[in-house]
Amino acid sequence: MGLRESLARYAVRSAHVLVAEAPGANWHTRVTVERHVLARGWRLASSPADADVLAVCGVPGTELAGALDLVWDQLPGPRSRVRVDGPDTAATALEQAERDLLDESAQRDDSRSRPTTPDMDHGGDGDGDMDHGDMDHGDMDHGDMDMAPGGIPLAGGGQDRDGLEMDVLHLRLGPVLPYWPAGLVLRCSLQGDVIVEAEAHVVDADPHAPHHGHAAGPIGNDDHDSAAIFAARRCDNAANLLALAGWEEAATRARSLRDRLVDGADAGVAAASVAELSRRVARSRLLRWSLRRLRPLCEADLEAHGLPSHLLGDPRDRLLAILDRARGALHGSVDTSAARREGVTPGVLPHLVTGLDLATARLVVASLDLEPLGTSQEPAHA
Amino acid sequence: MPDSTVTAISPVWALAGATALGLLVVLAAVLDGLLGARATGAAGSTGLRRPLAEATRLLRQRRRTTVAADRLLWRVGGAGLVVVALMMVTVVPLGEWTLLDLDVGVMWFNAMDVIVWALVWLTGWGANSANSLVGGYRFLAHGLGYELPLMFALVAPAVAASSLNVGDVAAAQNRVWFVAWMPVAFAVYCLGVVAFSVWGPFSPALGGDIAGGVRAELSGVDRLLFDGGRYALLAAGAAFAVPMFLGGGSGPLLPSEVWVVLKTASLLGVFVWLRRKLPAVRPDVFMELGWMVLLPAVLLQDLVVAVVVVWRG
Amino acid sequence: MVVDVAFWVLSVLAVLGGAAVFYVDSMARATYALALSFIAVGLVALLLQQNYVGVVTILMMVMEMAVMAVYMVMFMGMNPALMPMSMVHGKRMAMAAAGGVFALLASGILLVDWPSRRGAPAGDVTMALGEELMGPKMLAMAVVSPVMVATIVAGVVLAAHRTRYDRMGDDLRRRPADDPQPGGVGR
Repeated sequence: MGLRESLARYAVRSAHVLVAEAPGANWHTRVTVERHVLARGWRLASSPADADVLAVCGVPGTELAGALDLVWDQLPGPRSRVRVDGPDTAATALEQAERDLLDESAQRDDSRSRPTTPDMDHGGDGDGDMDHGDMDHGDMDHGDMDMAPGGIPLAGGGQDRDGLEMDVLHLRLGPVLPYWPAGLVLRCSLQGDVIVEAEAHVVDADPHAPHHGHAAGPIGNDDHDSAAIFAARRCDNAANLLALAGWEEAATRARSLRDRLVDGADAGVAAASVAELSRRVARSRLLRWSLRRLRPLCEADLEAHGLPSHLLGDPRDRLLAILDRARGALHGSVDTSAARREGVTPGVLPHLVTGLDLATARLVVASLDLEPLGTSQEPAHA
Repeated sequence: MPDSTVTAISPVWALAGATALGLLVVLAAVLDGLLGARATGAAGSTGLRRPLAEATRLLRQRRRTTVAADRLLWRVGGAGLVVVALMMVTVVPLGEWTLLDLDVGVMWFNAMDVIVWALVWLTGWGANSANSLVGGYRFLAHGLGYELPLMFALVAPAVAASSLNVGDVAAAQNRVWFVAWMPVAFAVYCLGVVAFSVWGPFSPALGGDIAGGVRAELSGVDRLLFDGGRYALLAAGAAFAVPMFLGGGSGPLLPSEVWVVLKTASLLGVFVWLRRKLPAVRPDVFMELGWMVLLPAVLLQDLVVAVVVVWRG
Repeated sequence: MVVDVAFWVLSVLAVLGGAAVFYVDSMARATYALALSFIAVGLVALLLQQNYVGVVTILMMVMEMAVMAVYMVMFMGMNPALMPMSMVHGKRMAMAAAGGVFALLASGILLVDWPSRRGAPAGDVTMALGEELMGPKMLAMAVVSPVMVATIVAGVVLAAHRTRYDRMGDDLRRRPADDPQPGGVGR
């Protein structure tokens, strides 16, 4: 065992894993993968540059597979890609990933096979509008100006919310994004970091399927899910919102609650823990200040967009409502199948998100407590 | 000008200073790892070996770049944080010794923490990536909120000691520590340290909602330098608080050098512990708070200090 | 000896940094070339034992360059930073003016009969500077800063297209104010 190998072994002890979830019935798989990652002392990656392992949960469709290839290209070496088909294969998949990372010769071959110049076929979604706005061209020397530096066309300008003429940037949120509903893609036009236009769809959407009007749950076994799983999903969404709000301790607590519920903890004890978390969240003044008045939804808004009544108020109210519903499910006072049917469709997202900046938009989307998305949604525009 | 109470030592000892800062960084990273391991339920030993394992991983990882990235500015931004932290530490006296006995030591620290503004923005901008640019501007927005209160908080001990020399400020606390009668200035100073290290409540610039923000496109040794730089800034800020507010090396029984290290380590521990406990402060929301609440509070504090000094002297 | 070498190196760096502002083709590089030039000037001031002036120069100039990045994006979008653009306009006139001023100043520096030094610098230069500012010149110093800040704020207020009547209604009574995004203090 040479120095290099022992260093590699040491390095792999702290690997970072980027978890990608295919929409469908893969929530359980993703949750199990996250548990195993954290239990090994590894961490969850926040971006491809941060990741050593790309763990794909479930079978990706064509669009998602394309996105995953893009993400895979962005992982710096040494890297490993594993597919996790079900919760039971999570541990073995991660061990396989560890073996891949330690396999020096394979990693060297992998690094040799990577291109050194960028592949511009995937180029951004930017439209090649070369409008210079009011720039005075007077006696400026245009001789050696490159209109598309690096091969990416420049952004065009446009009026924005505050009266500045900011460039329009096209950015896609999802489908591989931490703390983001699996399979959701939100194509945004940004000016600065304010979203001026958005369009939402779910990857690998089947355009010929009838539009259900409500979020279909994961295909298949959702109706047989128990109250515990319902509560676990709520805790998962709450953990996402708390992590986006930057409160790591509360997010970790919510995540461990989710894990305990998935394992089948006693309903009474779990309900008490949820109540404890809910109290902590309600007491935090910093969180209240941070989340206040961000796209508050009044009754009229709920009516107009066809949203369920528990989404009333601002994101903090919605967070507390999520935890209340979890507790209610465990006590048996919430009708989980009815609640699941009246979920939020992705179609309403563009309306709620325009005019907000990226951070606020992420918080608002997380606060809507989306059920795991099926693959039979139609794309919707705003 | 009164005789300085610290003696400048030869620059050869700069290496020792850098090592001391490095040890503090490792300490902070270990503590952060332990707290993280305890929170996620992993074994405590994973937390203990986190700094070394993470550093090895990052050194083994390949560097990457993006299309049309401004490489020069990008790398300068990332690597500069460690350099700035080292420069901050040169004016902190360890007992009676200091590397740089500058008569404007307090201003020097202030100038260094302003350079962090430039460095973090450059790291965000250089990557030619929407996420990292948004992170860079979030940091500037935080900066606009915390920097002026921080500057005025640094004025308070200088006024009380009638000197901008760090050794003099430490020596002026021989009867009562400044933290006892300038709590607002101390609180704002700590807030400033946490903010310029992009740490804890002030980490939206590195937020998960923008895929790691300023760090989104960093990998390998660049990421190691950036993250190490953040820890180093936190440690340097904690170290600077000791002569400014916590009495320098004063304390019973143990020699002053040990007291300086102990005080630094405890303040650093508090900062690290704070990271998980508090939600993030959004930049657009913090700006208004910084100008409407923090700045008047610190100005009042300065007024109180000035009145006390005039009444005493 | 070391001080002399350092002085010349820093001076050359300052001049080159200033020249680089017009040579580079990206606004961000131009901004930070200017910052480099100012830092070199600040270090020269440190070499001249004007510690306070030197450190304050570095501090303020770096902060200004960072704030300039905010204005750059606000008024010009990101294109000037990324699109290779030329920083020089009206070259002929500028060359003539620059050359003429340089010749004038250089001939002045070389030909004027500079007086010799009277007395020695004060023992504590910073204290002397402070007394000079806080003594007879205090009124000017105290007034200059608030006036500058007021000018900047007034400029931004005049430029913003939403007035307080848009925010708080015609009777200025609506609370909380109608902002696209709420501020932190709930005004």
